[in-house]
Amino acid sequence: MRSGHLALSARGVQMQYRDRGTGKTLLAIENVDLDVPDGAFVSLLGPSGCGKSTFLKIVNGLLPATSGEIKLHRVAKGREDAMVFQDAALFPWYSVLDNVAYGLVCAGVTRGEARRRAAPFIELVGLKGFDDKYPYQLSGGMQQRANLARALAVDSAILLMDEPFAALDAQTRELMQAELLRIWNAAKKTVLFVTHQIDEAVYLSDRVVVMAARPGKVIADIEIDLPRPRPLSVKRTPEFAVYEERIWRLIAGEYEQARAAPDAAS
Amino acid sequence: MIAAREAPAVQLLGRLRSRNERVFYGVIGFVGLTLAWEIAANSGLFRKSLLSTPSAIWKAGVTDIGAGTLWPHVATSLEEFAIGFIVSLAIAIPLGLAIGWFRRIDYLLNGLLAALNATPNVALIPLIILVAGIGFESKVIVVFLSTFFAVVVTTFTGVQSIARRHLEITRSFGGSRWLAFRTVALPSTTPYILSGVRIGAGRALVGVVSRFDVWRPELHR
Amino acid sequence: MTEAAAFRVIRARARRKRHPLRRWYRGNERAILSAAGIVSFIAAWQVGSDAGLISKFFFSSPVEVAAAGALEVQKARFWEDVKISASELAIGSLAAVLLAVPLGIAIGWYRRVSLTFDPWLNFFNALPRVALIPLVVLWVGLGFEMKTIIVFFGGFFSIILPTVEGVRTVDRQLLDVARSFRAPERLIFTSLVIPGTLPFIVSGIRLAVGRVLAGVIIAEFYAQTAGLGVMIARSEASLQSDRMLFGVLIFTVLGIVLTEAVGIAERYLQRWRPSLDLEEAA
Ligand SMILES: Nc1ncnc2c1ncn2[C@@H]1O[C@H](COP(=O)(O)OP(=O)(O)O)[C@@H](O)[C@H]1O
Ligand SMILES: [Mg+2]
Repeated sequence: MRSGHLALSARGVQMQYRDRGTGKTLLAIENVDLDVPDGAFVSLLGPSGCGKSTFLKIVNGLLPATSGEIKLHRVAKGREDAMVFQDAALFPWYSVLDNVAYGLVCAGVTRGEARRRAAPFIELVGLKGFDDKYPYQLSGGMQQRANLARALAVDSAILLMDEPFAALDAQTRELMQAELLRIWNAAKKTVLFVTHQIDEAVYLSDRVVVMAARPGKVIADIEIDLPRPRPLSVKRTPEFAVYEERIWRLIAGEYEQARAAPDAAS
Repeated sequence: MIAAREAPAVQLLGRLRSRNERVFYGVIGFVGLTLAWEIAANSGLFRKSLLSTPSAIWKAGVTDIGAGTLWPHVATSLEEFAIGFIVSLAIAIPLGLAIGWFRRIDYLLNGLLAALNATPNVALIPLIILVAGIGFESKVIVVFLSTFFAVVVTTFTGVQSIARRHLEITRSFGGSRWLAFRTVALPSTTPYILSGVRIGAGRALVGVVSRFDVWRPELHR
Repeated sequence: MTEAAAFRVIRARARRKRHPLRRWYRGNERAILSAAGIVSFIAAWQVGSDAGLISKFFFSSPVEVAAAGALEVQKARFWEDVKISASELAIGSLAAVLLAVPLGIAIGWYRRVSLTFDPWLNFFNALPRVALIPLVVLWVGLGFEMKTIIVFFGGFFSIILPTVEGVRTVDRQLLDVARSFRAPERLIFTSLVIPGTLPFIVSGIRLAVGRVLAGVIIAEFYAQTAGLGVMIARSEASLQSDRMLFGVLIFTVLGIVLTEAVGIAERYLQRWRPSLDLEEAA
């Protein structure tokens, strides 16, 4: 099923922001190395502000890194990567169908053709019958389904997901996690998933890459050896708890260190 | 209870008030103002020729509309308004979009626009009269000026307020800047443009009706 | 397969060494282009009128306007006019702020005051201010008082309406917090209502700048007694477009200076708001 090559390979990625007004610089991420095999589900886990979004934006081409290099495995047609944003990511003036078709329109497909090709993805994410609704008529969970469908519709090899479920309530979030695994399985994609929730990362991923802040860097890379398919009940197993505990310790340890040396952290 | 012993009229008034306080006080304000105006004008304190009364205005309005003498004036005013307004929109909206969308055009024009905007329109009336007289053209120019900056400024503000996230989406999927302009900038700026048009229309109406009333050439020619 | 064919490579932005002149331009682009815009406008005006493309009779030329200005500032009459216009402006504006702010806060805070005053406010605000002039003239004549009152009206309504709006939109949630801590009315006022309303008041004052300047000019046109408005009007009558434009320019500069001053005040009062102009750059 998996072809064995790397879908994404990052080396020494560093990002320094500069405030135009004051000229002050901020090292958002420092020397990040990351390999994502084709077809894998990898999560980037870390506290808010550790540079997860920054890294995804660099991969997506929204931001130029200050140093380092990222290689994406070429695909025969279409884009290598597509982004699923966290919130406010649908155009309020477009219907669900037009929003889902938008990625294709950006790729130069005509609007009619884009709509035709978007339709099956609306069905895949479970929004059948909502084509003509506007975003304000959808619940948060449904909006994120549409958001996901837009990224799926451009048929990229890699999905970049930036905390897509962070704004949802706990029950909806769990439901969407299970849905995402179903869709991932059906669509055969590589996923790079960003989250700050330990249980979400463990439940979804083949591998969890743990990051620390100030400056953002990778502090651990953990294989999640839980069998698939994973029903939500996996979260109540002792194996799952062990993974959660292990990652929690890593993050808490990093936090203690940062507190012990506040000057080094700033 | 004290309220129970009050006269029925007072009770009624009280009920009316509590039922719809907003309308109650509003009506009192409006009626009070109109009455005060009527009384002041009739009191003989002011000359009738200078201070009209609400009842006289009402009567004159009814007579004019009946006799049809009002309509030619209204038609001319409407024409002045329409021409000045449409030309103004045709320039102001594209200009507002351009300075909002292209940073360098903004930089190039902001000093000039700020200066023109800071100049009170009325200060330009003598120039307008010098160039175009007191007729049709000068009214059109006044309408143009009254609308222009309101529309430029609101359109510009609209473009500046586009959600960054929305622009990011187009870029993220590889769409061009022109596509972002059509699919993101235009729809999200439209409400701002409309409110600019509304504000501009209000100012232009005031302009067409009254701007030249302060100009009294007989005093200094 | 070669590596170039198999991968799309995203490299870091190369740190090019730029020419110092170019770096200086990038750092000051805004100021440079603004200046360029104004300079080319003035140059085009001068060249156009020298070439006969722009009528000198109507629009004069920058050099002539400057010359007229240089002549004007040597006249005692001009400084007399400046003094009169400035006093009208200062007194009328100050009175407008001092009355509009407390009254606006009262109207916004006390429901009944508001319901009684609202129609009046809306009526007077909708009324074109020039329509008030004859009334004011009847009341106080054509002199200094009338002009000051017209200035006052221009400023008063621009400030009071946003002030009322500001008090009415004070954050309900913060109000609940204050009340749940049994904050006395006075404290609610000083810690919540006033700070919440300040930005509205300032934006009203920003609006008032244009209105009071227009008020001075309108009133002076009408009264034809003294002041810079009269100087402009008299220049028009004697067909001295250079002197007229010099007069207009004074109001332009005044408008810019006052607006800028309000802007500075605004930025100071809003300093607790996070600034949004972080740029993505390295
Ligand atoms: N456009 C920007 N300009 C300046 N600093 C930024 C910008 N975007 C993010 N940062 C800073 O970079 C760091 C990482 O941000 P981000 O990548 O958004 O983190 P995360 O997604 O992990 O919460 C933070 O300290 C943030 O304040
Ligand atoms: Mg983030």
